[in-house]
Amino acid sequence: MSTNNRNLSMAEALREALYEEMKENDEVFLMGQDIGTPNGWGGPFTVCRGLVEEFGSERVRNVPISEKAIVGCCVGSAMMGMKPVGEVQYSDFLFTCMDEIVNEAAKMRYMSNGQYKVPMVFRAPTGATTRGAQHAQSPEGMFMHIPGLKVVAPSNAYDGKGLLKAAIRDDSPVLFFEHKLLYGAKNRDESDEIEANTHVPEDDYIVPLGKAKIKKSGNDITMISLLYTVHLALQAANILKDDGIDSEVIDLRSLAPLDEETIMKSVEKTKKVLIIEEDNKTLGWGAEIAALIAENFQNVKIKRVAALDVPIPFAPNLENYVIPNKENILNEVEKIFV
Amino acid sequence: MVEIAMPDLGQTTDEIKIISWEVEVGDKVDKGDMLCSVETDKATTEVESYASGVVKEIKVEEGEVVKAGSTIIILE
Amino acid sequence: MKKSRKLKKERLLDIFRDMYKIRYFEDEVYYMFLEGKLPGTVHQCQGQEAVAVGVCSALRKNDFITSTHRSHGHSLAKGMAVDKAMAELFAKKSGCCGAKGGSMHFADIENGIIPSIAVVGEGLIIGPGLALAYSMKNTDQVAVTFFGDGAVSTGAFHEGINISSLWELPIVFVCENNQYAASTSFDSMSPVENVVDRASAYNIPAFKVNGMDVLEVYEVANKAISKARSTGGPTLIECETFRYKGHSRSDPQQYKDKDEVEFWKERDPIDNYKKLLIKKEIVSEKEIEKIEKEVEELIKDAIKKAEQAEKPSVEEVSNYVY
Repeated sequence: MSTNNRNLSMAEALREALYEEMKENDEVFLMGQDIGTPNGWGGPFTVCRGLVEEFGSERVRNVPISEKAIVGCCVGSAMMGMKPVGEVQYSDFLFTCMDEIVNEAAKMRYMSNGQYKVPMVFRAPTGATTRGAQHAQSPEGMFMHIPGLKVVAPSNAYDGKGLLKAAIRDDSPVLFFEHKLLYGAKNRDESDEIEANTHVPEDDYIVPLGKAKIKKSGNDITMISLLYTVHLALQAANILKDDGIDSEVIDLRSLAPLDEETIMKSVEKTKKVLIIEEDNKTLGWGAEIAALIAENFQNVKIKRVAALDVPIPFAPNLENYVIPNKENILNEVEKIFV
Repeated sequence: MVEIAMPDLGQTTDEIKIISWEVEVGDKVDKGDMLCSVETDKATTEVESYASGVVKEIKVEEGEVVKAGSTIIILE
Repeated sequence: MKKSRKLKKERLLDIFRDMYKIRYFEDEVYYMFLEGKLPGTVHQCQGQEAVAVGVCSALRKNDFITSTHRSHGHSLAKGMAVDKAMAELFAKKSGCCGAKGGSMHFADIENGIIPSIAVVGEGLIIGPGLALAYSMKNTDQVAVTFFGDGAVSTGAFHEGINISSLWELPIVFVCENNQYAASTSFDSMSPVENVVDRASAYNIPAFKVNGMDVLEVYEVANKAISKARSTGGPTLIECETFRYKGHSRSDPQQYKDKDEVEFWKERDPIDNYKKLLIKKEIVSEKEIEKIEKEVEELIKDAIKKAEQAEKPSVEEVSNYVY
């Protein structure tokens, strides 16, 4: 499955992660809709393409439109020693199986006082792509809120492969969010080039859960970002450089566990924070980070750029207005430096 | 001597009203026998004795409202 | 008596012992609640013992079950130690879940009990996951999911049985139709007369049994479990039964009428089984009394132990979140 040119897209990198983990460990298996048809789609975003031909339909299972059953089977089989990787087609559909995620996956270990573990991964494509309100949400923060769940979200191919491998090897239930626009680095009209494709090493590597990455160091302002907003933050940082503002861009990579150390170290240095998130502002994950920073520091300026508190509208001009973009990042930075 | 307390039968409140007593001072009571009927926020129900003995003293009048946990009858 | 010839005397007595253990345990717990000794609430199963014991008697230690908020009977029948169950209700550290679970989440990995699930119906969606692991690993384990008549309307009932049938999973679905979901009668909530009538929608075999007759339950459950173990494939068993107590501790049961309660008490699973064993001269009255006394001592001992046991430490409150 490796290619000579090791510059891979996120979809290719995730596919490699699944392939390698399944090759290494017979207990890893996949469940999802449209992933198990030979010569088929490989799922809605092609991540599983080729895997059913390699591993067979027992281990790459097509499931009916039955998300409760997909998660329920992940939980139950994980408790009995398997390592399931399930998926929904859009993160918006996670709400059809909320009980199984929140009341069962997250709580089985704790309620049993450690007798059981639930080593499952559940993948969900996330983010707005002009398909309307029920195919557009970024609900990652809702799951950060649930004790017992790990929440992970890569912004590029290298991290995608490493984090997915780490998630599969982890003993806790992990929700793995993949931004739809980062699979193949499809651009939005108004943005500059997005670099989600990266070099991906051939050797076995993981990216540990719970560790953020400083994508660009700087001294003047800390930008905290996740998934697609990492790329927006980097674009904004590039522009601000010309204005003499030296930004530090943090890619969180994990919401739970959260890398508080990296965040606080940066904030101590810059004393100015801009949180950039694609989820709705009220009680988005940014609210939690803002509160944590405020609890730890006095005299720090904190601002958030988030989606407006509306269901995501369909029209491209409306959607672009609602979700974070480069312009409103620059506007908020200006307010911070006033 | 056993002091029998009003059990915590309410759903939203601790306060329970005694409707009527099924026993009198001097009666022999076995574990499981009905002591009184009461009114809770949910409905009218009956209180069984969790001990055996002879009724020595009835501490609460019919019609009175008591808090769960307070003694309602004493058996010997 | 055809059924009892298949089981040896020891097994027949074990069945009595297990049912009596559940009844005595539940009755003692009931009075301790009246006395205010136990925190929270309980959902009790007096009257339903034959279902738990009939099914679990056909299971191996490493077959796993899913239970519900009404978990005491299933857990004791599956082999949980009385000490651990009682201590959990007393909220003590020595409880089966270190008092982290409580009455509605009894768990015991050694005896094949996953934490019971208090969201109605959800056991029907986790059970298939257990069975899927057995199928993929090719062990000959079987999963059993217990649920009530109230769960039959849930999405989990539909999706769980649907996927189990599609993948021919080694699982048995056991419905304890005790006529009421909390205070609402099954009749008034189901457009379909019997739970078993729904099975044809999923193309699985289904049987309705007298849930007050432990040997009838055992016979049907044993067949379904053996089928799951050998060729795979789910079965639905509907057991007609009745709970003597309310839905939970605070339920005054106004929705049941006196005649109805009398009708079911006459069919008490333990009294009738005892009479049967004595009538068929499988056991003497003296032997039965001995078993009863042993059970009572076991439970009284468990209560004493639980009363004296330590509470869990707050230092441990964050253990096992991940």
